[in-house]
Amino acid sequence: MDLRCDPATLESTAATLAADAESLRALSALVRGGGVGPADPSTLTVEVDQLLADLWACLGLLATTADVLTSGVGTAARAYAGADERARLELRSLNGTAR
Amino acid sequence: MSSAQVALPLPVGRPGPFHGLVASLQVAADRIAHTCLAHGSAARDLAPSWGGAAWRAAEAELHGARIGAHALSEAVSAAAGVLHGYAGHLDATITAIAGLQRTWEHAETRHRRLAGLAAAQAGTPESGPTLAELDLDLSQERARLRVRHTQLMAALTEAGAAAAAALRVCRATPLTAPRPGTSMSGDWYEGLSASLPMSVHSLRTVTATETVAAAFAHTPPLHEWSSEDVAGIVRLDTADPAIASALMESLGIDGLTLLATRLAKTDPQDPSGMARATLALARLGTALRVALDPQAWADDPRWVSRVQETTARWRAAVSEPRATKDLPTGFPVLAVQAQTLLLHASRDGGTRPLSSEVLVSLATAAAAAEADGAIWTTVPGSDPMALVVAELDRQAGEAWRVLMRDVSPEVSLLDYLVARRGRFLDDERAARAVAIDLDHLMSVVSTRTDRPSVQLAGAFLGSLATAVVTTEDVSEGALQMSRYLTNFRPSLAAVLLAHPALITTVLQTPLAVDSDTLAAMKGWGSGPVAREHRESATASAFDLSPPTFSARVWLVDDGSEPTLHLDDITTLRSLLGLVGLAAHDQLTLDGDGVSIAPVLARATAPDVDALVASLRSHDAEATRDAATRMGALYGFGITAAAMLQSDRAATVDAQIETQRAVVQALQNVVRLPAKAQATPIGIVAGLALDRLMSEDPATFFPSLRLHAIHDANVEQAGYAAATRIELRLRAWDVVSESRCWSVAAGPEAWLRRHPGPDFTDGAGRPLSLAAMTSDQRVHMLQWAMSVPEYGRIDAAIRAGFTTGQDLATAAMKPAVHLEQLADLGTAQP
Repeated sequence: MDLRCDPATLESTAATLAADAESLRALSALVRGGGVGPADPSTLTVEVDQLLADLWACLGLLATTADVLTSGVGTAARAYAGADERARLELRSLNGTAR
Repeated sequence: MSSAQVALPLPVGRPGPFHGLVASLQVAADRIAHTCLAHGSAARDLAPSWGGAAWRAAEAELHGARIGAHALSEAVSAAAGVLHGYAGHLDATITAIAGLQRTWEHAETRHRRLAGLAAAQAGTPESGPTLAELDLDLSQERARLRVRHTQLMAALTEAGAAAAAALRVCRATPLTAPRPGTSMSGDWYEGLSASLPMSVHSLRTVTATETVAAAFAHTPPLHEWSSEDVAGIVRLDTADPAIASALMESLGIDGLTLLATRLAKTDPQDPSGMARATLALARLGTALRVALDPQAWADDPRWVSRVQETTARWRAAVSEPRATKDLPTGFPVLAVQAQTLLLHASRDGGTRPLSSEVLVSLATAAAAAEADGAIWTTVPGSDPMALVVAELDRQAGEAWRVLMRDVSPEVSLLDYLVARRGRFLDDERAARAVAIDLDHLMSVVSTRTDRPSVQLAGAFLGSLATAVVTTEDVSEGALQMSRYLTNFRPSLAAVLLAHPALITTVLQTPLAVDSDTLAAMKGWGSGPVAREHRESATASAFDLSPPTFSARVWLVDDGSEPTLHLDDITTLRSLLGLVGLAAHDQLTLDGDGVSIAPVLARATAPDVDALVASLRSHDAEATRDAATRMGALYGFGITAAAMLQSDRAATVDAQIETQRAVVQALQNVVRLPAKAQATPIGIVAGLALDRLMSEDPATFFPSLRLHAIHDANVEQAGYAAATRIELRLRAWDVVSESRCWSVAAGPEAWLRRHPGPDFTDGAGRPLSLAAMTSDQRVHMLQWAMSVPEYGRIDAAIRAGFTTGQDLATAAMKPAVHLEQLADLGTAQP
């Protein structure tokens, strides 16, 4: 394992990413209920709806990214802190080889 | 509703929702821009503190998220701007139309008032505009307002269309740069997801788990399944790694084995049940392939890690020797058999070839099972070795990675398949099927010139030599082994053709071999050396000890293309025997020259079979390949034999020159004693001797007249030409025999239109060309012009023959030199 690791930094990063996930999910909920109702021409309504659907999906995806990274960084933090043998093995497995 | 509202309606939509949405979008854009994903602080934090493949993947994901989030924020902001613009336009239009409505109402009010006044003053001197004039005024005002309304509405519609178009452009603007080799299209999500593989995997995993759970809802326990229960599985897209992974998670390896076993036992008399079972096996097999494929989600280290875990569990399961207990239906099915069945059923599913590790695991488990007497043909498609070779055929260049690996201590898979499997596998049909596939694979490998492939070809030759030498015995098992080995003739011929140095060496192998060595090879000898050899051969054959001869195949790599050399005379002889060139005495000179043709005819018998099959199936490419192979082997054999003959002739000429020199030296020194010259007999003898000494020694020693190399060259040229003709006649006869033409194009129909000598055998086939008279042959050749296969084969054979000649001419110096032959008496097998 890399002895230069800094568990505290990793933990802080994980916490920030978790906050990102929460914020992005809230935005996702905000966007989901949106819309402009009927408009002239009707293609405008369609475009707005598609834009919102797309944005909603993107926000969900970014929130998931934040989740995934929170999990990975958290695993790394625990592994480098040496507190969690399972996390250490998991990280070793993810990395392919022990460093 | 007033007439103004009816005549001048407000536009569809209200500014409120637009303004609300604009505000939401602006909030979203702002918050996205301020996440740590977007400004990349996380990546900066990670960089100095973490390393490895997981970190690289995390960094890539963060990088994608940063670019994507930033671009998304800008795009959302732009969209908000577009909508804000439209909302303002809508606002202004509504205001303007409301003004028009008021004007409309004022005009009407005024008209009513003036019309009343006009009615009251009608006929008086104070009378103003007439009613008709007032109506006209109102009408003109209404028209003016309508025109204005139309203009406003048209402008709004135009603005709306422009806004829609702007949003479309906005959504189509990629959030991330396209990956190399891909084109970016679609919407935001599509672009963003391409740069966030791990996140997409997580999302898909969640939905896949739900999908798989739904597929197994309301189904019985696995040990009670039948083909009736597979509808849910059949609907799954198991090529999707998320689905495959969720399915494997749900079933487990043992569950998969159990399910495959159940489906394998579907009653063959039930066609619809069989169809369902086959489809379900294919789906399950595809899931297994994907779950074992590290490349399926190569951009996610979590997947690679998961595949490693799955592979380890799977390897342990297939090496489990016990059969699945399945009491209701009877016969046992091994775990490796069930897993093979799955992988076999899914081989056409567009998935990547199985990894080396998976194939080695299958082969190792199969070898162990075969040692315990496994019979694969009880369940069609369940022979692991057949699957392994078929998979290797999909990646011939990588075949060496698996074939050179050990499947039991010190025994490579290649050696096992070539030299051992045919010896003890009771299931001869299964053994032969694999041998034919391996033969094809080795034919492909032999044409490759990379070092591992040449090394593999060398190992192949070594294994064959081992097998042939240890099959000299005449026991029943050995006869079966001989039959098994004939499956490798085509690939052996291909290897020999691909490595000219090797075949030249083989052709120059002499006949003589000491009886002790031969006896040792056969395992019959009684002396100490023979015993030692016998023990070695026996151990090699039955105890799976290291191959005796493999080490004697040398790989020579001088910087150009690597090639092979054999340094063991017994190995050469063994290979020669397998390819059909064993009869060395047929390579020696006799009255008609070098009798190699019959030997070559035997060696090319498989090509003739292939030729007939390809002609009957109208596979022009296979026809050309087989004909070219035949031509090449003939061209090579004839030329190589001619080189041998020339070498020998040159030796004879050299010997003659020596003898002539000896005679001439004698002539110079022979003198009659003076005493003898005085006698009458001496005078006569002296005259005769003088004459003899003035003559060319060749006039009184006929053997010295021989110019062997000249004679040999003349003989070879004639023989090569004759053999080439013979080969072409043989190939034409093969075409005739195949009857590859339609009835309308057949010789009988043609003969009815072109009267002349009948060249057919009465059954719609031309006679053999050798059996025809000249007239028949001429007439047959006229008909053959209308059958393209004759010409095609002719061209391929000519090309192959020339290639073979070139190969022989370019052959390197043989590895075994004539001087070494003297050492044969002490040669070790």
